[in-house]
Amino acid sequence: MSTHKGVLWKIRMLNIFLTSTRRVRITRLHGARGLGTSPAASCPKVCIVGGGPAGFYTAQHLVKTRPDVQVDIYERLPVPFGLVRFGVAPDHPEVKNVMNTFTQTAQHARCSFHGNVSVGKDVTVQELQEAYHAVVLSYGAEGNRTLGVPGEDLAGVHSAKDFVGWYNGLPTNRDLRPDLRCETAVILGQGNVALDVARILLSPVDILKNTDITQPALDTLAESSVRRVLIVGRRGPLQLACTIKELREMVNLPGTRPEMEASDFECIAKMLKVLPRPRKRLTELLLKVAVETPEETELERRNSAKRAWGFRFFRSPVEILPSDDLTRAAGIRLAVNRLEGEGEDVWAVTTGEVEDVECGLVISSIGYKSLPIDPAVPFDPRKHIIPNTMGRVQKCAAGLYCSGWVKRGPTGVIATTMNDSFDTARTLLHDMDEGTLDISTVKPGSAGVTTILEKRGVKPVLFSDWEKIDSEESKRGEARGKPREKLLDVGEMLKVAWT
Amino acid sequence: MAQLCVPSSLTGKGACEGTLACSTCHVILDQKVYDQLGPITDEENDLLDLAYGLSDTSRLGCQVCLSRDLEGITVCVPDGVNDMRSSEDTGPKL
Repeated sequence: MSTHKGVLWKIRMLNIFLTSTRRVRITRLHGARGLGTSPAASCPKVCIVGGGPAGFYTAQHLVKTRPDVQVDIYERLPVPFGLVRFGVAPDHPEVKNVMNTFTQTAQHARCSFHGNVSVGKDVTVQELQEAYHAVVLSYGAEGNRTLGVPGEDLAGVHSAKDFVGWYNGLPTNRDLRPDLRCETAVILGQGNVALDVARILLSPVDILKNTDITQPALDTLAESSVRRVLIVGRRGPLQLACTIKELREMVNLPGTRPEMEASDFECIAKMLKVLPRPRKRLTELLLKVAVETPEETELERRNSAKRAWGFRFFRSPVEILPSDDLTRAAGIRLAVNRLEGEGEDVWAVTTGEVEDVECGLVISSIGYKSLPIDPAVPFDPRKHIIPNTMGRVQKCAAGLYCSGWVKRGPTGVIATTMNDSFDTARTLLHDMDEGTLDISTVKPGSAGVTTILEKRGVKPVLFSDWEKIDSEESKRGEARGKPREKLLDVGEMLKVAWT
Repeated sequence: MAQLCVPSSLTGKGACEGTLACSTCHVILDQKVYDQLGPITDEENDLLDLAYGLSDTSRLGCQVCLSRDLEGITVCVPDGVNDMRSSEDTGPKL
């Protein structure tokens, strides 16, 4: 891997053309890092609910494009960055580099961060709409889809959201205490989150110990008995939902070998030539790992590996089977499926057969889910998103927008959310320009909200306060050879923030 | 090449700061220039798979080392960075 650091060659006549028909406005970044003037009382004021990637990218686009707009970001936790901090796997630190661009945005003269403020509880959306010209809801998806099968509430069954939150230090998952004293773990779902969970369960602790994984999680994983992880999907290999980078990481995971059912891959090889490039490369790698005879060094490596992982296809959960004392999961009953339909539109149909797999840990990785935040905000109870057109919330008065997972549904990577947030920002700016959004009145902005919060005994954590938490976490991490040791408790975060 | 994109007006490029963790620095090159460059690793190809508007002469900008030989080249930057992992719909498939 080569990054072009150091001396930049002076390239004359380097022409850069934008290929899309969409015009991109070229503007200069105003007021960066303390330069630039403070916002005038009558400037347009926008409030963003949620301090994760969607919130920050929406803010970034707004302050970059209009030189007079003030943007305030409200976040429930004392710490910013949402799933970049709590979702991205500890062994993917480079994905977290976006925090640097978010930090620049937060430090912009016309942007401010207010942590420890729970919208819907400490301040209502209506109160925000009175204080600001526009409110953008970017609060993501804090719930998860449920399996809806018997045994789902047994000990030993966790949502991937909670398991990931646990190893990433989300305060609400601090006391999860997953029991890893079993040999086999079954993960339901085959997306990138499922692969993250599998990789963290099977990674050598020597690799994890220098990441920002929490110490309690590291200690638990060091004592783990889990030796086999099955990643289960209801459809077939051609519908595999994860992407090739994550599959390759599993294939190359030290100390592990792949174990899959060759029968799942009949008829797959002959499909290769008609597949589009990304699916083709993914399927080629999958076939290589699952079906082909490995060459000698790889065979030796596999034979000496003590841990195993594999995909199981055409299987849907029917019931989680309890232990003899009925307190915990001891197995899972899976329905065997076949596929119907053609091409991209293929679905699973049960054959009537079932299969029981012994396991002590079941992680359900079938999707996150947004929840309604405030009665004043329309919410689609079927799709679990805020109904909107290009980010403009429908079925309500003007001035309400949304971006990120709460707008689109909980899929996609950070770059997807980035584009989506820019789209919402463009819609909002367009409405300002056209007059659909009235910005002629003077609004109090954060001053108005601060008054409300003070009355209710709520004290926001400012970005400079977060920087103290950041500094403390880095300091604690350095002592252990980790990039940071996260604070796990909101009370402790607040104590450090306000010293 | 990614360092040229980050401070410029090309918003949103180089999100991972050149560490092979995204595809936002995707560029399309002339065939001649493409052929001059070194081989593509699996890791780069894995991310290119996800890039919007992938072509036969696509590379990730952060993996292209600029040198005097490349002076004067034209680089096309696709406007969209939505990758294959995003959903086309405005909501989840139920």
